[in-house]
Amino acid sequence: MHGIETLTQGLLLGLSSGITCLATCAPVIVPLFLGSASSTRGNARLLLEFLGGRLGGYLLFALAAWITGRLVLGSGALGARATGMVALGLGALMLAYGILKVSGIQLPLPAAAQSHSGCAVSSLRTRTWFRECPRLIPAGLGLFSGLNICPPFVVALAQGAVNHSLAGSLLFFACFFAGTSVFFIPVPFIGSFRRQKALVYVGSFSAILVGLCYLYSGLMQCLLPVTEP
Amino acid sequence: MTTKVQPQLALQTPASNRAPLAFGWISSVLIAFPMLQLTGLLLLGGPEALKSFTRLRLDATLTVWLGLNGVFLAMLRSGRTNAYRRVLFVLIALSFVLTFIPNLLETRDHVAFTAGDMADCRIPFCHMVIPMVLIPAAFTKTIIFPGSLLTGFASIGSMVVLWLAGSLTLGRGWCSWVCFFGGMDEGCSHLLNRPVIKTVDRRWTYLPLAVLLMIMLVSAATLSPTYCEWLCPFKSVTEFESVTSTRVFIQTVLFASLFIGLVVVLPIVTRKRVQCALFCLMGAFQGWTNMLNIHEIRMNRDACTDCGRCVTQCPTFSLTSESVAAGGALTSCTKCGHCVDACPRNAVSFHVKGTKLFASPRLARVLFLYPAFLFLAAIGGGMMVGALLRIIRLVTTGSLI
Repeated sequence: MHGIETLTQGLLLGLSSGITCLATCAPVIVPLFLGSASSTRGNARLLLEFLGGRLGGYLLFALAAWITGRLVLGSGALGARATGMVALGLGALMLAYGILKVSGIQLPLPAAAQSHSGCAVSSLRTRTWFRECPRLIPAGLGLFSGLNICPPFVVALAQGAVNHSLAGSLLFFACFFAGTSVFFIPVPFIGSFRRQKALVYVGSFSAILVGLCYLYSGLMQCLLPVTEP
Repeated sequence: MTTKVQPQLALQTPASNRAPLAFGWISSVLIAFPMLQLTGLLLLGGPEALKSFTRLRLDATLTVWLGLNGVFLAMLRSGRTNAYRRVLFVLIALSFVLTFIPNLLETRDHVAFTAGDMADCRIPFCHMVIPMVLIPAAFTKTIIFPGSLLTGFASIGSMVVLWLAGSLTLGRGWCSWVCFFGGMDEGCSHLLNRPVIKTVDRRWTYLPLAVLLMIMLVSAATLSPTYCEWLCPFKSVTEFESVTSTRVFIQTVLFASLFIGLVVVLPIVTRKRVQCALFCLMGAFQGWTNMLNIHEIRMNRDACTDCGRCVTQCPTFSLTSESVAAGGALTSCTKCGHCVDACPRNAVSFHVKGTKLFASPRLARVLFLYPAFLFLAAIGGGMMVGALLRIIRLVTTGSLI
């Protein structure tokens, strides 16, 4: 497959299936953005973090697709377990995000940072990193969303797997990502509701519920026996 | 950010306090007379329909008809709304269970539905599903529910039309006057004299909106009736899928847990309608219809002493000190009339939007009571007749079916 052909095919596939992609990601995105309820600019940053994580997920899949061909999807047990693990990760992150938001809990300082009385800068860095680590959640959610298999993604995976070169596979998935991302452009405007404090709670509670859904789905896929095709 | 659950119990308002809303005997009878005719038409039908009635059915229908109209007359005469509404509401919920399950057994021989029932679209549709099917219906022109569109028992079309009419007429009043599930947790919420849990964090009042949002998103993403499959507490008393797999077993455990927790235990210990106020997605959805509806609850700030009685008595957390200070209820108000009955200063009243405030609270109340009671009778009357017949059958033959 030539470069231009790969590029246009990935982009067109992303554009044509973007709505389905957005609908699949909506249970993750909407609670995340409602719960954060920042300004439009703040939400744009949040979206970039999310999309950055999602691109990472896509490229990881591109790598896997190129290495294994259709092996991951072809093997029922392996595919189900892998999907289950992704759902577990997504569920755990959503749950953590929702609980932190609803309860307003600030993560405690690690013992090392509390007892550290030597270098002030090092202590501050440890403290800041630990306190701020929930800020990695949007990127983490993006990553797991990217790895989560949805109908458009299966089509992209099938296409990406037949690429003969790693660069081709990566390019195809990057273009697929770009095509689907167009549909995410309106998302930061959810920030317009930021003055409605109720929506922050609604978003946070939804994140907990969606997180529980994904956790259940992941557990079932990991624990229950899979029927081989 | 907590709300106190009512520290004191039942209404202790002196009857004389209700005088501003009460009618004299003659006025009450005159006002109730059209209701007698309308409910008669609904329950008995025309002369042709009467011919098909058995003697037993006719007696049961007449009993329910007279009973309903007696309660309506008492509402008008006493000026009290909630105490009478609550009795009928609980009776309707019990009647629903008593008629629904035997009906299923008669029509398809089993309560638990099978894959075959779903494939044949034989699952009765209920109003709780409506918010969940809207987005997929709009985008894919598909109803993600295995029910019949126009024919058969509880078809999708008939329930949607009924819900539309009820929502336009009553707003979220639907939840206190029409919903045949709501009486279950309302009944349980009056089993204890005092609440065991006295405070509920107000953050929980946002949970129904979160459930609504989550269900709408997940249903749209998966194109499946997620609420029916996973979260409906009332599956425990209506119908459920035959347990044939681990997934269905977990679903059944969830249904039972949610029913016991939200409809039985928590309402008992808090004396609040927990399922309706803190979980129901339909209730959250109905809150928006309150904005379109012309009936509302208003507080007369000149008469109000900020005693907080209405806030603590409200069974659905729809009043806060802030909303009372602003002179109204939150959009989650179900117009049950509890606050109207409870106010010792008669500062709370029904109001028709666009009319002069507190000019005629009696008229505003009657203008709400008429459609609300008519809907209650239309939905619940048939169920009560059915339940009465089932009870008679049980007593005389030893079987409900």
